Amino acid sequence: MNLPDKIQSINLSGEELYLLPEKALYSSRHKTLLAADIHLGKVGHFRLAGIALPGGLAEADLITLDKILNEYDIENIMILGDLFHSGVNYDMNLFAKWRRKNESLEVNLVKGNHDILSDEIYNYFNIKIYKKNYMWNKILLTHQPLGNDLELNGCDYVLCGHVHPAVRLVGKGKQSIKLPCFFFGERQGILPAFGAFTGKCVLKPKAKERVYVISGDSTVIYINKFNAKC
Amino acid sequence: MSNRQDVYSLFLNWFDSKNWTPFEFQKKVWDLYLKGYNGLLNAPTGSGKTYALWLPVLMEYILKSPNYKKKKPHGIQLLWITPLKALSKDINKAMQEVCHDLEIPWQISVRTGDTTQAVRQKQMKNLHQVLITTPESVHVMLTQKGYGELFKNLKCIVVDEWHELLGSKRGVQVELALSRIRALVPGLKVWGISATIGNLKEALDVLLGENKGKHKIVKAEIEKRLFIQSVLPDEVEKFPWSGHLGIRLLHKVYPILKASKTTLIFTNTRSQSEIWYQKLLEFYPEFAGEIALHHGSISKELRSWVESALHREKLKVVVCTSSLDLGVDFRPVDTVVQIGSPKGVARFLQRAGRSGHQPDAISKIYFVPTHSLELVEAAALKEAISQKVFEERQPILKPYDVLIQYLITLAVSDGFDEGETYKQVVSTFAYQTLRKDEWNWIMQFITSGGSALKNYDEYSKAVYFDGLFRVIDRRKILFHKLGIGTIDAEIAMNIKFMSGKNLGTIEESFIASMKPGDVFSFAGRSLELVMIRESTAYVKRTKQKPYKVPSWMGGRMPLSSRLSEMLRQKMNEAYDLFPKDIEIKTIKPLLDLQQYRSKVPTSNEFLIEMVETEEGYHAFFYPFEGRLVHEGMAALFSHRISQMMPRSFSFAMNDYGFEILSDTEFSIEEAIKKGLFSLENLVADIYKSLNSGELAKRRFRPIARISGLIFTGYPGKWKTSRHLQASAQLLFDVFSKYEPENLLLKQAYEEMLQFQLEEARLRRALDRINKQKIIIKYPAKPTPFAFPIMVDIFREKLTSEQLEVRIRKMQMDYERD
Repeated sequence: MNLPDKIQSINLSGEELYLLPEKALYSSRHKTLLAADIHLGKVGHFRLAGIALPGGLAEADLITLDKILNEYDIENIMILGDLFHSGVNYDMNLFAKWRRKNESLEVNLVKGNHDILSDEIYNYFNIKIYKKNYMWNKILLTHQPLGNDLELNGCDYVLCGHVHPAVRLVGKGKQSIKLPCFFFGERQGILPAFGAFTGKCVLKPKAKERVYVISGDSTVIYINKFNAKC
Repeated sequence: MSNRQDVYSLFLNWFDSKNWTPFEFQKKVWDLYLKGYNGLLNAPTGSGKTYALWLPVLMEYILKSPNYKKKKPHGIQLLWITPLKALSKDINKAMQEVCHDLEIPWQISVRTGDTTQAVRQKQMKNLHQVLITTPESVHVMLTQKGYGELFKNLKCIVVDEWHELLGSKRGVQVELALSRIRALVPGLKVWGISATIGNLKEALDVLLGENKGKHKIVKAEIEKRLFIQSVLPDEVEKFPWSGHLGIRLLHKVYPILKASKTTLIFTNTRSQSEIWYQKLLEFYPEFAGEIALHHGSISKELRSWVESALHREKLKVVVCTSSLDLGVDFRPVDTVVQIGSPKGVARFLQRAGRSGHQPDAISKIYFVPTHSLELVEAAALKEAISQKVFEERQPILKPYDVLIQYLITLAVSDGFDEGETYKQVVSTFAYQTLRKDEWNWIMQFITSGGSALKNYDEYSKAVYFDGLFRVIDRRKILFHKLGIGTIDAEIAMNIKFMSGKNLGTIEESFIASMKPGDVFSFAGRSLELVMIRESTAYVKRTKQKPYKVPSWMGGRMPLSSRLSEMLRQKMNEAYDLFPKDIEIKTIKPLLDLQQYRSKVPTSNEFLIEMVETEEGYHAFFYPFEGRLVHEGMAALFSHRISQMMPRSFSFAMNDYGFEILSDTEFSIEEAIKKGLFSLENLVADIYKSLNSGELAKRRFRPIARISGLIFTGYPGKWKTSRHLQASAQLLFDVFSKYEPENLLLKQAYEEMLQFQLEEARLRRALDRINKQKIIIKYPAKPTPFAFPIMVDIFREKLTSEQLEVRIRKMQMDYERD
């Protein structure tokens, strides 16, 4: 299938992965979408506690997912943790509706610290769960980043979530801006948080780390170390 | 006693026994009170204002109760509301003394945020005749079931230091509480006590709202003699052009301290007070044991220790912040030192008044500039004081967040009737213009969470039940009680020694930047961070020198508009070949340099300086209007220039002027020709500049907290509340996108307009600029006027460029290897 020109791709362990501005990675070869930290039900969790978030916000992430499913050929979703934010709440009904609509889709979840639902619920939604990690081709998928001593035994690269990475860009005229990003180290990469109602954590990359920032809803831009003019 | 004359003489004898004579204003208030008046007493701190209002409450009771020495009345008779917890102790003492001397068996209790749960429960079971408390604590009492019982015997509510509350949301809290309690207790008298401000009449209107009854303003008319002197640098050429610490003049402050008995050194921020304390001890170790530190983040115990040591004449110097602005007099204090601009005439006078309390003593205050141009401010201050110019305190209008919090408060306790409560609310000054559609939105917000309920939605906070709106869920009740309060504060962490001894609080963001082993200064001690557990930072003492001083938010106060007026006048005099004021004479060499590099503008000139540096293209404007107006004007000008061609600006300001900075060149002449200063479309342009900037975002933070959108957490239960935390910025973004019509968002913009971009003031300023001669200079180097603004790292941003274009021009903020 033809991907739009403006969608960039990177190669990791021989896999070509497209950087979607919706804050997910896409492999056209495996018809797979990789996303982290969706935090479904977070809005409901807040509203249940009497915090009046906008009602429409609860559906935002599922609408984004639908948009991606429409645009790309996807049979399989790999979620790198924190699919759900907390316990059961009424937002789950929205997810149930979405799941029925996308019945044939395979959904895999590497459990994150927020994924505290009982296994029956994942079963009910036909979600395959992995407690610690999942080896996807030669890439190890985890939720939390592995420490500095990470042993790449058997795998080439680690992809994770949890951090909600962002970077600060600075420009002439004392401009500065914080943007969510894909953050790739030599052996481990961090996905941006997919969810619309999630915070950011600003990281300071080291020289050899590669960063792609997400500009608004539409573009992913690689930031070069020396200047961003390329 | 049934005769007023007898009762009067009882109290006059008491005055005699103390060798005091009552002031005219005290007698006037007694008289008005006994005639059933409400009112406002205008009297400075330490003038005996407490007796003006405490005694008539007793008089009234004694008049009605011949057996007053044997029997005391049931329930609370007098509710005394004070803005500062610290004041309550001293008021309590003064009141106790009267009861003791005159054998009146009334009891007095104090309830503030510091009062323990156990003590509170005891207080509620056995009500004392007087309750001294804070606005927040009154609201906490309104969350208790059957609060009507607490208040039903009230005779009077006194709001002390009303001028401090007036311009803040805490003032609105007082207005709302009054509207409720006055409806419960017909005939209740309400009195405010205020220092001198420019709008006393309005202060009374705000206090009483629609139901004024008989009312009067009583002025104390106490003239205090004042001595003001600036501490001048020896060589202004070597004195810094910018800065805020003032440490360079330490050696000149020393002789003042030596010559005085007890000195209060006022700084504008808590971190500044820590630094002054440290440096004084470092350079003059002889002060050890006689010097102390006092600011709002230091624990209650330490603060009370300092206060009592002050009373007992044990201290020679106390370095403090606004934490000692108010309150009872420390009689030994004979000198006050103000470091840096106090930013307002009233504050300066208030601080000066903390010294010289012996009869006929003079209040002595020394002004220590932190940078050269601040000396002009000193001259302006003196002028304002001699002209008796006082600032107004603008009351806050229609804050939706405070109303939401208040309605939930009522719903948490006994529930509220919509019609009756609406009537009470719109009878206050703050909500007199609240429209029915706004009320309906707020009711919807607290019942269904803003938008219309959908069938899968579980939102509920207040529910309609048996005729009243109530909050029934226990978790939500607790959540609300914990969140009461309108003062915006960053999440505070406790600082404790490993032994558990409490030292005070510190902002979380400061602690977050530190690792165990780091050494910092707090409460005048060198402390090493040992570990952080939940919401407590554990520390131990160390001999190492601290290399970090915590910064607390809220240090940047804008210059008042009154003082700005004076400043413009003084700048004009600065143009004189031989200026009169010593301060201006002192900085003449600096002004000469300004004149040499660019120009010192006269009152009919408006100076713009264009400077190109590595950073980009700077334009400096000098309206001398104070930083708030400058912030608005900078946003407006940036917006207007950015409309001519897509570009991004950052801007910075101080009280004298502001800078807008772009990465690409622009022609200021062309911008002026195209209407940079135009009054046309002013309001529309202000709104647009708000939208493209980030100003409103910051305003949203306290609003989100007060209205209950940000959950501050259960004390000590850091973790359990984490799933419910979201930053104000994230909330602002999602509301802007998914619910732009939300009134709380609107409030953020309106607060900006009311306090920062006040249209009327901006219009006046532009009007003046339009009548002035525009002078554009292209200095090769930044001028003395420009420099302090240029080096300010705190910047606002505004852009008309697409995000993608901006990103492509930027670089990453890399970690330095």
